[in-house]
Amino acid sequence: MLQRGRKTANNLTALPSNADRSRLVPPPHLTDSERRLFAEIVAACPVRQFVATDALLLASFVQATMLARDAARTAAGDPRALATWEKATRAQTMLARALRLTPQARVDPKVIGRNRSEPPLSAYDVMRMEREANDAAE
Amino acid sequence: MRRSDRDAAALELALQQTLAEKNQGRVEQVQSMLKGRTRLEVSQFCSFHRQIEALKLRPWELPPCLGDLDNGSGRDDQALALLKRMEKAGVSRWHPSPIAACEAAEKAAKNRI
Repeated sequence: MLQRGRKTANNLTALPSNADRSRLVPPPHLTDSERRLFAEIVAACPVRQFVATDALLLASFVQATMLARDAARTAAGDPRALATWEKATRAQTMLARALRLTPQARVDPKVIGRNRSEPPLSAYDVMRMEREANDAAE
Repeated sequence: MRRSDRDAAALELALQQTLAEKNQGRVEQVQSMLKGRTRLEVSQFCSFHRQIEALKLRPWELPPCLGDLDNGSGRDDQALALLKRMEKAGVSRWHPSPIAACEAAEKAAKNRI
């Protein structure tokens, strides 16, 4: 039954707030570029995605990503770099799954099935994406 | 090749591609248009249609053959950008496969250098 009159402080429902949940900060053992990538990933995910104990796992994911990125640059002409790239991407995938960063972790398979019926990208969409990628690279 | 020759070749290609489509409704439409309109008008229609197909354009996106058209609500920036790319590469604005033609022309120009 509804209460008549003014509600007391105890009766008021507090809305959940994210203000008390601070974003995960990069561990000190990471390099500057690793720390930047760490911060980018944390910023791109919902506030509640990670807790403090995930920091080390996320740091390993960042290092695997950087290693794969570096190895990819030289993999075409260096078989050892190709092996490094393979191992790094394997570790990257495994850690991404553990951290629920993969598309499978975000999207219901049924939704993916429904999205297949959407029209393909137009040439203008591709041009726009290429231009944005070029702008970001500059 | 002169600009007018390039345009004539591109328009004819668009017309022939449309007449060779599997969609018989489209083929009959163009055949009927050829009876009552000039070949230039029909070819321009075919180029418009083929460019939309080739570029998988959405209903609100203009093909590059109309890239410099401003119908009062502003130009389509992407269509204008592609039209400029075509002009720079020496491709007719009526070419039915704009991106493929640009890529081929740009590759040929690169090989000449």
